[in-house]
Amino acid sequence: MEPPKFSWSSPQRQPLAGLVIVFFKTGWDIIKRLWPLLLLMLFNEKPGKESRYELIAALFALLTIVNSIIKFYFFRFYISNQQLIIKKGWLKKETIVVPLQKIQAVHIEESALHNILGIVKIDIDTAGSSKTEVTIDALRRPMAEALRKSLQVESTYNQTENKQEPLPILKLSISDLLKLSFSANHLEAFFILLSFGYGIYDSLKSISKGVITTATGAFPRSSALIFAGLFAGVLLIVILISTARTFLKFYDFTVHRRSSGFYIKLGLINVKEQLVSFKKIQFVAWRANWLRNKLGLWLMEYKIAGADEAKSKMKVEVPVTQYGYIHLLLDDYHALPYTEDLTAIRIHPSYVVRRMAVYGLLPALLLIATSFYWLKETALLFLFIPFFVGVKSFLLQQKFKAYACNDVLFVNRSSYGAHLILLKWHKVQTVQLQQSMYQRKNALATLTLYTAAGTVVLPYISLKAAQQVVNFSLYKIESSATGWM
Amino acid sequence: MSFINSEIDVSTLPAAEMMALQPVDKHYLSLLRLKWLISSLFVMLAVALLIFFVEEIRSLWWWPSILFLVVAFTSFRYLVLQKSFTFIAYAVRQHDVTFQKGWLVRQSKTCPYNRVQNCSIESGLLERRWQLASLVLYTAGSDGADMRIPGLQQHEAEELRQFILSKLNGTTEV
Repeated sequence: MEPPKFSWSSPQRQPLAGLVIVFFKTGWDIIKRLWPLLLLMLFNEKPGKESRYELIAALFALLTIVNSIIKFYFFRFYISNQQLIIKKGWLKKETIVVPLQKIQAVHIEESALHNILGIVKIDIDTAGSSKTEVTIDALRRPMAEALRKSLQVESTYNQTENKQEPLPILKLSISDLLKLSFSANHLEAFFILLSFGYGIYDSLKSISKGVITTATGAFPRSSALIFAGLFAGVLLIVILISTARTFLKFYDFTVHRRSSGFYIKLGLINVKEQLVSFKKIQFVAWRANWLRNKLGLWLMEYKIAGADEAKSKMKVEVPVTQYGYIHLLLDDYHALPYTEDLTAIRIHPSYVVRRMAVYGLLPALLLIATSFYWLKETALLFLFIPFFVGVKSFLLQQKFKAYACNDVLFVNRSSYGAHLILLKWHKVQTVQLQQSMYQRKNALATLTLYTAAGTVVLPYISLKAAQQVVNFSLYKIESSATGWM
Repeated sequence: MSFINSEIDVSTLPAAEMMALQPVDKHYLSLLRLKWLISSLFVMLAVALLIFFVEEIRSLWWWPSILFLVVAFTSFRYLVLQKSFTFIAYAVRQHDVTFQKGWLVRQSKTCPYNRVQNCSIESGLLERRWQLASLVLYTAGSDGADMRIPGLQQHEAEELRQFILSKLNGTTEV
């Protein structure tokens, strides 16, 4: 195969096919911004006013589209001096310079539309704030690959790629996907259904009030049966939604291990490729809900520098379908410590009551006080909040165990299901010890370890343990020759 | 009892809880008071305008309790300010810097120099009145991992910054 001809060194625009992407993106943007106006236009059939709305909407849409086309032409990128330079903007010009070594990862994403046009989207993840985030919406695949090639992360990857693709260390089968689907958090799917269903109900209601009233009028007959049927129906739909979501996200999930990192590919329609450099993993957490924990299914998340909670797109999650895989996926970060005969740091029992009072009872009372006027007795349902908070805190207090080992901190913060964290000491950036008045009286403290990819909190542990962990972690950070990245 | 499962004897490690903390400049209290005064005046003004112009509020029989709440809240803020000032302190060690604050909830944060990305001095309009400055240490950590030491004298902050920067260049090779 002859190598594709292109150069990264001269400033260039995105391929023209990218304009289609731009159209779709701005179209979606316009709909998002103008939907109240569009709804008005659909349902408000009064003549006269309508034309004015239409004019405003059309003008706005036109301006937005023209603006994005101009922006498309002003968007240029190139590599010079080991720096990726992006120039964009028209009225407000902006130049983003990203030194190549500072790039954490290049994510290649390919939606159905991208696939048709033969282009890909790349997200370039850098350490630090989201201001330095770079996205190129449209790029020819060989170019995207070339960008990867120019990254140090990928220097070894290409040699192997040219020969033969090594076997994946992990691959999800259809039965794995089904297991994941059935054990997914159906509550999420239920809320999707609820919001969607309510939207339909709402629009139906406004179109014809009569139909709905007759339908609801017929409802109370043999209500137990109907309720059971309704429940089964909703459950079925919810499971179908969960299944669809799982398949869309995790279809064809494979993990390849390369010398410097993991290469992960996933997705049914939106195919996503992620590169996780071992160096950039700050800590690892794996979790499962109650059912998944029973089935032996976990979701392992690599916490990458720069990809914090807010940037959910950059999340690197690996479904683990067998316990043995945990070791396989962890060992490049740090082996799971042997904890059998170690002293564990535990949460003090007072945590449950304190937590329940502050995060359960207090908000519940506030909610009841503010909504009682409208909801009457129904407002008392908010008392379930302290109940749930209490149960969760109790389970956490019972199960929590933190082991401060020589090189790592191993935390088990499971409550209903499982939630485990493995953190190497030298990945910590800042340590914080916090004591409320109550904690001071009882020689307790809450310890927070800040890393470049989020925090690890040990709440309500004994002050002595907290001080020891502070001193030890500081010693470990300050004496470590290797940096955090 | 040791909670650290390591081959190192933990009791020999330098103890962060034993270090001598240094209070910030006493003028910082004046600055805090001034800030309290300005913000309180704003709140009072807003409430007064609301009561004066919105008739619905005045028609409520309990509207004087709004005034009471505002006054109580403002006084409480003053109490917190006064009390917490005595706990604002910092300590500079060979390899890290610690900052403590808080009266009701006390926080003590430690940041090792070899994790500091950048270090700057900030001095606002009000701060300059007393030649005060804040030293800000930026790390790569997520929200809340940065450290801000307020109420330093300007020359003090500058010396501290030079010291930390020299440590930065000495320990890391980026």
